[in-house]
Amino acid sequence: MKVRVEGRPQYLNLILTDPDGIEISRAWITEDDLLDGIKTVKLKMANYGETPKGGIYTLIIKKSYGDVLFTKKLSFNGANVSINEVRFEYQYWERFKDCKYTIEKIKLNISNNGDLPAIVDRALVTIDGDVVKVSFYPRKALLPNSTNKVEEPFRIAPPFCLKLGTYKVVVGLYSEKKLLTSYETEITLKK
Amino acid sequence: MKLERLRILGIVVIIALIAIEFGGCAEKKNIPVINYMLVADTNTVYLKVRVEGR
Repeated sequence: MKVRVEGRPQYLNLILTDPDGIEISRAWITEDDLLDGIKTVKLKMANYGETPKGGIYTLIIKKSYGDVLFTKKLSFNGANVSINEVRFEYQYWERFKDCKYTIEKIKLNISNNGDLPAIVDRALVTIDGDVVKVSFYPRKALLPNSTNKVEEPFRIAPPFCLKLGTYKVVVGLYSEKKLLTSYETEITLKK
Repeated sequence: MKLERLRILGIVVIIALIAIEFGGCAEKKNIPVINYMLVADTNTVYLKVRVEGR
């Protein structure tokens, strides 16, 4: 957002409130910052690791002594995350009878068709009722109108063993414990 | 005489109120909003605001 203020350089407060009307972040611009005429500031739209909510945000620019110079309401529908495809990378074990395959890696194709970025920190993978947590390091930021390929190793010990057969798989994507989307599929493991 | 003073005082107050109102509008008109930008690092989503002063 570009805002132009005219007059003597002065100390400004920038405040952003979230759709619940709660102040989510604040930034300051000093007189010195505006001596060259331009200052860019970043205002958090959600807490660390969280996906911002959809709704109306309000940007307020105030003089230091309280006069409101500028108010702007910004409306967003929110992030709209969907999983397009889930694939796994396996390791085949010839000599083990009850552990023919172990999952080494999960490969996801994820889209965000919303108008706000989403932050994804983990996936919960349910394979025939057994739940495996896959944490993303670092977290993944999914920008609006983007499709992303995400690969993450299955960091679990002991390794997740699968026999030959067909399994029902559900993958849920989370942002700080909040479910963003889930995807259901089947995998078939053959010799 | 007293009534005349009150009338003048009333006019002064009205002129002052009009001046304050117009002053406020003029100040706000000088702050156009052109666009905004959303940015995200791997942990946080930000609204990036560019303030230009002159």
